[in-house]
Amino acid sequence: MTLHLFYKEWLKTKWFVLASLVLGIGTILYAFIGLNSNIINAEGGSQYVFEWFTRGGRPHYGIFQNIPFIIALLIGVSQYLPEVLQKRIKLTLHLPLNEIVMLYTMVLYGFLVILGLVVIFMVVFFLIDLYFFPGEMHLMAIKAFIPWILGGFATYFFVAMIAMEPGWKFRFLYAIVVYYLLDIFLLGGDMSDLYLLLVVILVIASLGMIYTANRFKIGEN
Amino acid sequence: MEENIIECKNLTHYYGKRLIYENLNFSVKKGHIMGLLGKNGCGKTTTINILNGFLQPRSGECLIYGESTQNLSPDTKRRLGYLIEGHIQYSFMNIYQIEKFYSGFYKNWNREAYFELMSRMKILPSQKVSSMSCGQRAQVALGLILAQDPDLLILDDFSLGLDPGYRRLFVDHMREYAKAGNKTVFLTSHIIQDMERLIDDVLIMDYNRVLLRGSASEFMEKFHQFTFDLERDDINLKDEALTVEADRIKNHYELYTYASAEEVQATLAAKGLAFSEFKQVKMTLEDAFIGLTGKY
Repeated sequence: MTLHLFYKEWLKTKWFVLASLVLGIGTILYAFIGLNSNIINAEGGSQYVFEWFTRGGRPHYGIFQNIPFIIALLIGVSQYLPEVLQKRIKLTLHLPLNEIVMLYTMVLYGFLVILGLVVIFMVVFFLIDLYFFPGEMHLMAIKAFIPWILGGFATYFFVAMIAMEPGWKFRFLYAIVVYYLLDIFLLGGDMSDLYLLLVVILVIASLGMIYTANRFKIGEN
Repeated sequence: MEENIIECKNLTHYYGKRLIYENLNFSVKKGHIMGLLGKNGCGKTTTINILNGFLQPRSGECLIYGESTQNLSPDTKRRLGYLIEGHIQYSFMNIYQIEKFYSGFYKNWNREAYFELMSRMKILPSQKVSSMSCGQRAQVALGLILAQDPDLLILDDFSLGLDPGYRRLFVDHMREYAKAGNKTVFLTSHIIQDMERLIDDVLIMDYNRVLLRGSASEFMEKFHQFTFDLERDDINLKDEALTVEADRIKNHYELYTYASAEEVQATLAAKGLAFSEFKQVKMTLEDAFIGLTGKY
């Protein structure tokens, strides 16, 4: 049954997965094309670029900051919008499976797709980055990527939570709160002290759907 | 004694402060087809939503195969076929994809039954549900139900958006399927003439109350419409004890009642009202429904 549910999710999302892949890889390539041109054109060459990244706080991968959020939004909306329109989610909830298991199978699909995309992006990024920079720079990049990627997953979970909410008024309210909450993932700088908080937000986001799905189930507005 | 497949006890529901119904009780027996009739806003969809577990009533409960509809087990859901108002299905799938998807959830999935019905449709196999007409969507929904082979079917306004041909096709298939397999069906429809060909039992609701619950054929046998002319055009028959509903155009009167022709004539005579053109009108279920609930 899980595979059949995944099949349904794939039918809904396949073009959005492809678009996300193109967007992510395109952004990475663009970052390196820009980097190459900066190294060639900058006065002081690669030394100048290195300074610019580390002290100026404008690394080449900065352009990637919003990508996990955008792909999470794309996958989430493509997955849940067709279910919410005309309350088609009733068809899904009516299938002979435990409702929470069913909903979290859908969430698992989205999570795995985003994880897969992120892994591809990271592999592509670090393979190219190895050519330009020493290992220390990679560590910096990893530290920067972690909150963005966690933020992407939180965005996806929140989209699922908001989609299941039956009342438009509450959907709107959740969306405003979530918008400001997600800002925490974009504070920048060394965020290692905040990892615990980010994980807590992520866990809350992943459980939020239980609450809104229950509201849908009992017919709340 | 026949087994109750659906049993709703003391259902009370409000939307905000608006009462939909109070202490509604009904049951559907195994192998019976029950039609729920009522005017717009009297609680038909509310009842369907409660039955499908998508709405928690303010009080009372509905049981399906003895389980509360709020917590149906997967095994019970497997025995239950559900048609959403407007034949809504996954619009991003085509007829092959939708069959492939559903087949994974039901042990006795009968794909031949589905594709036999699909072969009658004049559409491309790759055409998505979203680009189908209402009638074609209805056939897809019906085909999926036939393939699932549920023991209980809940059909919410199955005739919505269908032209007469598709309605007839749907009704005929459903009746044959239900009767051949001793299936239980609970359904609503805005088009009552379709129900007439399909149902055994009827539940007629008005705002906040149940007007009728029982066998459709018995109701049609006992409930009558009489028309007659009186000399005067200002007689109010609505307050008569035998009247269920009465209407008048000039001095031509329509009377809906459970009383016999003789009893109606005796009542008119007792009131000193001379009548002519006294006729009993053969009613359809729709006429009877109007007679019971009024025109507005």
